[in-house]
Amino acid sequence: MKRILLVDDEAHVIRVMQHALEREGYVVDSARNGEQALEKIRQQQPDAMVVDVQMPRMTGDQLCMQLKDEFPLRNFLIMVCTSRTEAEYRDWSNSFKDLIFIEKPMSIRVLLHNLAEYFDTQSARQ
Amino acid sequence: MEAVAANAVARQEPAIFSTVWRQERLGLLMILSFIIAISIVVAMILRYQQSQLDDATRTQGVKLISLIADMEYSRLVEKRSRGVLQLILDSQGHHSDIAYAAVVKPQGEVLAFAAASSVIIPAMIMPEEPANWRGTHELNIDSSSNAVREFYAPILQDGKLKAFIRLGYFQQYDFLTPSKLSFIASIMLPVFLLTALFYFLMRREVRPLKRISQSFNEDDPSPIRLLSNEVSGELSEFIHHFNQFIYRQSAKIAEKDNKVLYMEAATKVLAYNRGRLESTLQALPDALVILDSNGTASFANNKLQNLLEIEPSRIIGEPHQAWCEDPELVNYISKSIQGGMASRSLDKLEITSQGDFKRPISVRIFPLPDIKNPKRSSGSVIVFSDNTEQQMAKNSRAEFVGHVSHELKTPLNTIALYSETLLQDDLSESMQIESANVINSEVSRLAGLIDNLLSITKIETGSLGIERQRVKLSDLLQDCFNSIQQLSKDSGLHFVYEVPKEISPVALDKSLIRIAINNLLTNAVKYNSPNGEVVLSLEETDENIRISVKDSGIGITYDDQQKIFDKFYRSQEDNVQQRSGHGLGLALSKDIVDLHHGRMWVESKANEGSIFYIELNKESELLKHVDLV
Repeated sequence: MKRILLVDDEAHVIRVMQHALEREGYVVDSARNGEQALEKIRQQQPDAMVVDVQMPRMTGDQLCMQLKDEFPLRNFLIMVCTSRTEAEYRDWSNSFKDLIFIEKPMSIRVLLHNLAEYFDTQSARQ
Repeated sequence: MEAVAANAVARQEPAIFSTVWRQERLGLLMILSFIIAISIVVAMILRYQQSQLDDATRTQGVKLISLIADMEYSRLVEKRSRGVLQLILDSQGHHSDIAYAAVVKPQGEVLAFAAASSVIIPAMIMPEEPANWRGTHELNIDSSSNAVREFYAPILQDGKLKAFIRLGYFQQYDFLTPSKLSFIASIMLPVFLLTALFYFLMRREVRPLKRISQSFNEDDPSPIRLLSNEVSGELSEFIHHFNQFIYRQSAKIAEKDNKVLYMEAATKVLAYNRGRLESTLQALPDALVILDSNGTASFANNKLQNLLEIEPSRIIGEPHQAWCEDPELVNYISKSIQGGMASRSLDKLEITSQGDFKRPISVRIFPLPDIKNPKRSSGSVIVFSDNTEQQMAKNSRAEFVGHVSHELKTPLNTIALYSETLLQDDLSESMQIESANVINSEVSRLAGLIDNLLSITKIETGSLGIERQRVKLSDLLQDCFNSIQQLSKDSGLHFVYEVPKEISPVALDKSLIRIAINNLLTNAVKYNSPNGEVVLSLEETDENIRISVKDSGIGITYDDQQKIFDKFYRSQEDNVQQRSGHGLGLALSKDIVDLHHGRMWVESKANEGSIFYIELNKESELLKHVDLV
């Protein structure tokens, strides 16, 4: 059972994604901002994290940087949801592995597809 | 009183005397010199007459004594009542000048004498030397000052000295007798009259000189203007020449004065132009340095201090290497100085200021053409422009676009996710309802956001003109209040309406003010505490109308109060973040109030609630102006 951590300040977004992911058999946890997410990851690392960029307290990119420092051997997928598509807003992620961007407005289908693809690749690798 | 008056007179006297002396000293001197001259003349006449008289006495005495000495000795010494001597005395008459006549022995003993009454013959030691036997001398005959001129001569008998004859004459004095006085007066009168005439003529001649001297006291030297009958002769000629001299000198002075005036005016104009030019250069928004042809700074405006933190006075007369710290800038300026007029084509240089606040600065250098030879450069102007604002505007535009895209895409994202969920076949009914509701609310949110964005953009770009109309504010507020109450009927909040029924009609844009009030009321509901209170109230003063929206909610921290009217600002506080919002409502409301020349502010304490105020002028600035006209 793969654990997915959803990080978004919009309650509706979490709610609907959780609904869709749970239908697919994922175990879903959620956080309202970067700080909360960091706390949860410290307790238990998920198998994948879907994170919004613009959030109060700690933004998505700040959270990712923090994770890179704190967990250099991270082995879970980060899926960043953003409304900014320009390359300059993705510069920070250049040195990250296992990180993909999903453009808003998102699609549940695309989200599920990306997750499935990642987990398939991972299990094939193993 | 009298003493005071006397003192005053005493004080005046010397003054009067000095005045008279100053004005009439010539006349007084003439009178004085006339008196002295008369005295000298009279004295000389008297002296002359005295000497004449003495000479006459001497001649007469010498003659008479010779006659007597030739007479026989015996006859001279005859003892008779009326001897020869007495006869001689008598022969001179009553007014005889002869005081006495005596025959004396060589030893001095009187042998015979005759004398005027009360005259005593003075004793005398007769000379022994034959050379001295004849002579004359002066003697005093008594204790009084009656003087006698005595003549003496030897009386010889047979060639031998028998005796001496002494003959004394009263000394004659010439006094100023009335006849003499009239004589002197007859001489002096014409002299006096001549003097007076001379004085009068002189006064007459001097009068024009006095006027001339008065005219010299005036500052403006003017020619001497006198009537021809006032002066004559040499003085007239002098005045003529003098006038010509004055005319020539006046012309020269006037010419010099004109030159001086022209120079003064030219200097003032030059100073004014220079001042104006410097003020203009100082007033420019850019920093400016003017370099000479050799590269030394000859002028720098004060903006240099603000922009590059370089004291303008410090760089005057210095080469650019002395005050430029940026090596890129030093190179740029050096290249321009070397390039002369060709350096016109140099691209602008972008640098960053050295101070604490790094300003983006663009530098351009313009060579100044030489007036005589435009192909040569006589220096250059360096212009430093502050690009901070452009940079900030650029950043702010980018930020705005980022915010907008985020704010638009967020509800769109929710709609997309829920609509996709709705498409699932086996969706539970509750999820279907939830999805529909969320989509509905997010669509409203999106529409509201778009409305707000459009309004705020229109206001800020100036394309939204306000349409003022006389509005019954009580109706508008009642309307807003009712609709928010209706929308929030399930919220459990307590709504209070404290707006008087009679309010002066105000000229404002009804739809815009409605947006502003609705935003405040929506916020009051959104950020309230459970079972809290929302109060809409209005106060009217002579000039203003103040609308306030009060809530008993979470309140706003002091730091946030400074920023809540900024576009897209949302507090980082948890209790704010839990509530949806896009950070445009208050910015838009403030823009609307500003557009009405009103004032908007907030009073708040965290966890106690907030009061938002909107203050509007009852008469708009425009209407005030119309009334004045």
